[in-house]
Amino acid sequence: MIEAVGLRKVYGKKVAVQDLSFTVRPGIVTGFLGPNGSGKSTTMRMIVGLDRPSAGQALVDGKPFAQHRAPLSTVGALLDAKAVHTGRSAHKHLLAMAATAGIPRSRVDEVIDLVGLGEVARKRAGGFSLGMGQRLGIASALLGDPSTVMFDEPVNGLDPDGILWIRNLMKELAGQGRAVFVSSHLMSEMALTAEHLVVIGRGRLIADESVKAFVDRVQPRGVTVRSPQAEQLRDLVAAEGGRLAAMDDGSFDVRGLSAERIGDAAARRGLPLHELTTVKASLEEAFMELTANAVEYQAHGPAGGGPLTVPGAPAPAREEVAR
Amino acid sequence: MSATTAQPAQYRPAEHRVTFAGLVRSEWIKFWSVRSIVVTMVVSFVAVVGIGVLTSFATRALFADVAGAQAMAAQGFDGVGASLTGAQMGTLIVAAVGVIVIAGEFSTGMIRTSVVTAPRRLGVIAAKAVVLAVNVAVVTGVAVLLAFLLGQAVLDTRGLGASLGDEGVGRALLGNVAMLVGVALAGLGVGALLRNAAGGICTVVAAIFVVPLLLLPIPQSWGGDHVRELWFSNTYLNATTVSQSESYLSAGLGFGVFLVWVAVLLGLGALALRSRDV
Repeated sequence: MIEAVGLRKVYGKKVAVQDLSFTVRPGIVTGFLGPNGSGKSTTMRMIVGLDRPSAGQALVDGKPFAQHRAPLSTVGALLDAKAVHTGRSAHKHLLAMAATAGIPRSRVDEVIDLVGLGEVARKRAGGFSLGMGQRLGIASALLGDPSTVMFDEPVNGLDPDGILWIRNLMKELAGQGRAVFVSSHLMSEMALTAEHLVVIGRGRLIADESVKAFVDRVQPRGVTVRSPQAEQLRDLVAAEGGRLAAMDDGSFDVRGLSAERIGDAAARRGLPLHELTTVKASLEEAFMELTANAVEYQAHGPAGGGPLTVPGAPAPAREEVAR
Repeated sequence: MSATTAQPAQYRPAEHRVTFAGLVRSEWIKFWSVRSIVVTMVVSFVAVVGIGVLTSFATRALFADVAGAQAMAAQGFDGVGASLTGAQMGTLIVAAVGVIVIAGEFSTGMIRTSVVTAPRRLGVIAAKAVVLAVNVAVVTGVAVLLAFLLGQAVLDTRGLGASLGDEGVGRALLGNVAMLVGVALAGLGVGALLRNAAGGICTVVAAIFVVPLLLLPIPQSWGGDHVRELWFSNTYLNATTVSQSESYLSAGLGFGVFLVWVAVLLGLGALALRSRDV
C-alpha cells in the first residue's frame, strides 16, 4: 500500500510534481497515467526514496520506505531497465541483491525462470535488449516477494508475448493481495489492466478514481444513427431540438439528444433505424481531453502566447478556449 | 457513509531483513563479478611485484661489484625502498579500483538498485569500504611481501639484501599495505563525491603525483614545510620506508594524519551518497 501526501519535487527552478496526494490500495492494479514528462517517474522515485521530496511525503505500508527493515519485501520496483551494472551477469546481479537480505539462492533461480531469462542469465547484462532488461528489472522487483509492486512503463520494449505476460502477471500479483502500481503513457494499456487510475498532468493530480468513473467524466460524444431515410431523420432531429452531422461512412452523428429520445421519436414516426449507438469517449479520449485542458491552462501564462492547440485534442476543449 | 468495497486481504510476505553482514556479502559478489575490477586488481598485483623486481635489477646494475655496493650501503642506501617502488605506483591502481567500485554504479545506474535494496544508503558505502579494504589488503599484502623477497634476493647478489627481521623492515612492509588500503578507501570517497570514474581517477592521480610537485615552490614564509608535510600523499611516506626523511612527518604521526585524510574523504563521500538524489 502506498500513500502519497502532498508530494512536491522541484529540480532547480522546474516544478516536476506538486500537491500530489493519492493512495494505491492492495488487491488491485492501480494505473499511473500521464503524458511523458508529467512527473510519473519522479513520483515513483520519491516513493522508494531515490529522490527526496521537496515537500510532503510518500508512505509505504504506513511509513517512509527508508524506514523499513526489509525493503526488498516491502516494495519491488522496476523503475528503469538500466538500474543494472552493464558488466555483471543477470545471475550475479540478482545474487548480489538477494545476499543483502539473506534471500536464498533458490529464489534467484526461481525469479529467473519466472521472467524467462534462463538462457541468458549468465551473460553480461550490458548486451541485453530492452525487453530482456525489462525482464531482469521485473525479476529484481519480485525477488523479495514484496507486498507492493511498482512498475514504471513495464511494457516498453516487450514483444506482444511479453506484453500479454506482464498484464497477466500484474493481475495475478494484485489477486494475491499485493498493491500493484504501474505507470504508462498508453491509455489502452491501462484500460486492459488497471481497475483504478491515478492520472497526472504537468505534475498535478488530474484524477484519482476507478477507470469507469474516469471515462464517465467525459460527456458522451453523441449518438451514431443510421437510417435509410436520411431526410426524415434530419426532420426528426430538428423537431426534437438536436443537431445532426453527416459522417463519411453514411451514418449521422447526432448531438443534444439521447439515444432513447431518438429511438422513441423514430418509433412514433415509423422511421426505420439501422443503428442507434451512444458513442462514449474511450479512455484515450477522456485522457486527452482532461490533460489537454491542463496543458492549455498552463499555456496561458504571463508569457502571453496565443492559445495552444493540441494536435488531436477533442473539439469541446477547443471551444472552451475560443470562449 | 458509502458501503466499503470488499478487497482481498493485504499480502503479508516473509520479511527478508537487510543486515550489514548481508550487505558485505552482496558487495563481495559485486566486487568480483565485474571484469574491470578483477582486471585492475590483477594489474595492481603484477605492478607491485613487477615494478619492485625491475627496480631492484636496475639498482643492482648500478653496482659493479660487492665492494662498491658495500661502500654505498655504508652511506645509508635503502635497498628496501627499491624493491617496494611498485607499491608506490600501485597506489594509482588501487585508487582507481576504489573510484570504480562506486562511480561504476553511478555510470551504469546500478546505484539505484543498490540504494533501493538498502535505502538507508550508509550501509552500502560502509560495506563497499569493508570489501575494498579486505581485498586490497590481501592482494597487495601478498604482492608487497613477494616484491620484497624477490627484490632483496636480486640485491643480495651484491650483498645488499635486507631480511624481514631487519630493523624497520616489518614496519615499512605493513606501512605500504596500509598505504594501499588507505588510498583505495580515499578513492572510494572521491568516487562517491564525484560519481564519475574518469573524474575521480584523475582527481586521485593528481592528488598523489601532481599536487606534491606543485607544492614544492611554496616559500617557507607561507608555511611551505607544513603544507608539504600535511599534504595527503606526503603523510604516509616515512611509514612506508626504512630510512626516514626529515622533510616529512614521522612515521607514526604521518600515518595518523593520513588516516584523518582517508576518514574525511570517505565521510564526505558517505554524506553525499546519503543526502543527494540518485
